[in-house]
Amino acid sequence: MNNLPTLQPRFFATCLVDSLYPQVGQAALRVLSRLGLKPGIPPKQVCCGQSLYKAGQVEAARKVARAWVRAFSGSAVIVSPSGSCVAHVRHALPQLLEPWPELALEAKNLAARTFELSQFIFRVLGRESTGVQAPAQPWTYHPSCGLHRSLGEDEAPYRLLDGLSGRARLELPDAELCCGFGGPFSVSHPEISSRMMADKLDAARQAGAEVLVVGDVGCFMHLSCGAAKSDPDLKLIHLAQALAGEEA
Amino acid sequence: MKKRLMPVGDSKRADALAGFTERLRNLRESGFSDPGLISAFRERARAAKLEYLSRPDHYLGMLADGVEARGGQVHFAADADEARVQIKAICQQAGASQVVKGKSMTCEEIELNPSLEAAGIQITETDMGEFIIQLAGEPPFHILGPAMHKTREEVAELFSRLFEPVSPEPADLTALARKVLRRRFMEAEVGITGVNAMACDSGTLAVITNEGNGRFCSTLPRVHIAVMGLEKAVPTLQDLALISSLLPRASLGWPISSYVSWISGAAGRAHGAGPEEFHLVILDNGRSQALAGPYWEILLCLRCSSCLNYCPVYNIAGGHEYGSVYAGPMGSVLTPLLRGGPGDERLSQASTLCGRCKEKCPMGIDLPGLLLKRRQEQAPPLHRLMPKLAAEILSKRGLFESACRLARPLINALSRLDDDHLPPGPWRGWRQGRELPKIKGSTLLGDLRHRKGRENG
Repeated sequence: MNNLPTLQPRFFATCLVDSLYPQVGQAALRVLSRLGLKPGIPPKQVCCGQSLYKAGQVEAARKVARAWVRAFSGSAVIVSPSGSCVAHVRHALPQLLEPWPELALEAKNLAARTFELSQFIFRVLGRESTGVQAPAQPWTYHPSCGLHRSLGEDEAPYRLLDGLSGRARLELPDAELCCGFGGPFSVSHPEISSRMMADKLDAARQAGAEVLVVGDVGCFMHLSCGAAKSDPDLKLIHLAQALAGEEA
Repeated sequence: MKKRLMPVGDSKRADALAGFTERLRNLRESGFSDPGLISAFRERARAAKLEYLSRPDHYLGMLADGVEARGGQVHFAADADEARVQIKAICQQAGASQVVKGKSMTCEEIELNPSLEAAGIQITETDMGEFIIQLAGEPPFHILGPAMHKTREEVAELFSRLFEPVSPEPADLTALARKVLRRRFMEAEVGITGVNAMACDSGTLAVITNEGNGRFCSTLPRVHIAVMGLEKAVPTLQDLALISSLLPRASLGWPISSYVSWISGAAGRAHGAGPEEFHLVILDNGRSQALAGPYWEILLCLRCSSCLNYCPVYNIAGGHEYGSVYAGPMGSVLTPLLRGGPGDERLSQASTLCGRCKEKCPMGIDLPGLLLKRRQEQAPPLHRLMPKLAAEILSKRGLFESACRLARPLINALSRLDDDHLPPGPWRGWRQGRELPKIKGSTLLGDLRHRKGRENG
């Protein structure tokens, strides 16, 4: 992966960051510019369609996938602050677009060039630090299934977080357990989903954390909305915000 | 599954479940965590199974020849009903009034016990956990620990009521169970077991247990009936050795289980001991059809229970919520293939698709992928308007920005309502334990455009 040309990346915000958490997107853009990059922002960009796909709505997911590929067509490198969206782009898009050979080819081409933020910094740029301070309060990290399992990326976020100066990361018990979001699962099975969420927030408290850094934007939304109800003192930030030195 | 969640007040059962699966996970991690070893086993075991599943007719013919050459009889059962009729007939021909049985998920699947009991045959489960749930009249809670949801106090109370007063000490409970079971073993004319795997080249089956009861069932009674799901065979004895070692590794981190019986046909004259009659019942019950369809990969499943033990949803919901003898991720894939009953379509929703099951499956079955495939197949037509609308909004930049603006007052209004006044919609589920997200109304890209406009302007 280190052989990719160091062209300017294009930034894929994801629909959740775009609509609900612009501060996460701003943080990711700050991290990239701090590393000397000038990320482009394709103005027509849309959602990748992951949530529709996971709800079983293939045709709807296809329609969104086509728009996504058209918006990002020709990109040299794409960076996004969400592992699960990147996993969807990498694994599902080429297959979803099979009925349109030209788009499928472009999707395949883009799939190989799309990276989650921490992965891009660590694996493509080869950097082990974003040169900022860790959160000032005791903090821990939830790795997120999309980044950890679907992308199989269990090194980059840890290397970068542990490369922050200042306060060291606390170990989160059962870190690799799902937070219970699962897209449609969170509304089809709310009791089980919110119990999993409560377990995750409890684990952060057990670790002694006052700040919980979350690796994926879906989990970030889920856990933020849960903490807002049950543990408003627990501060949640996205991985991009931690890498930008927010809360430091 | 939605409506039948384990009662929230039942914390004793939740603790028992959490403790049980944690013990199994710890055992597995301490004995079977080397990624190189796991992938070596996985590759070989998959290759063996795939070879068998690519030509099941050929291999089953070979298997039947092997069993018959050693004095056994082979019966093919197209469905659960046929299997029950065949097993009942064998028991009746043997003049059996008493039958002992080893733990078998396949027998649970065909609901064997009630049909034998209706024919006046007393059937006794001899695995300690199965014995307990049989007495309690409940379905199994977990593949490996069918009665793991029962505390020892509950078991002591059950035993005391049915047999004689006993303390909740595990040693006392097992001693009493042994006393009761020993007599049943001696009296039974027929022993029934499941089959963990079977080699086609020699017609040899493996019964793997931790308590030795399976060996007792298959050796002491005059007649032994083994009931096997069609998918459990492998081509060679070498493959059988592989599965016999992989199964306990995946379940418990053990290189081998306490009791591994390999059985080839009836005892015959050469041995002079063991059952005079051996019957193998091979159950299809939807399996050949599954093999030809998009979910064939689930036929690689060894029933090791790893996907249950590691599934965060199973660990909260518990085994009975799935409404099938097969629970957890493998159950959610397998159950609709076997019976396709009402309500089964909901099983594909009972997962966050977190991928932990796939990661831990010793056969590398893509369980989340299979569940997703099922969701796609079942995407409800009633909701067609919603995905259409969502696809429009999510695929068009301008519409997306307008939708964000429109959503702001809507979400704010919903946030102000208390739970009792929420209109029906996905927010109802979401609001259980969570606030709705706050939405600004403008988008990141809109903000960036705006800022750039200001800088340039």
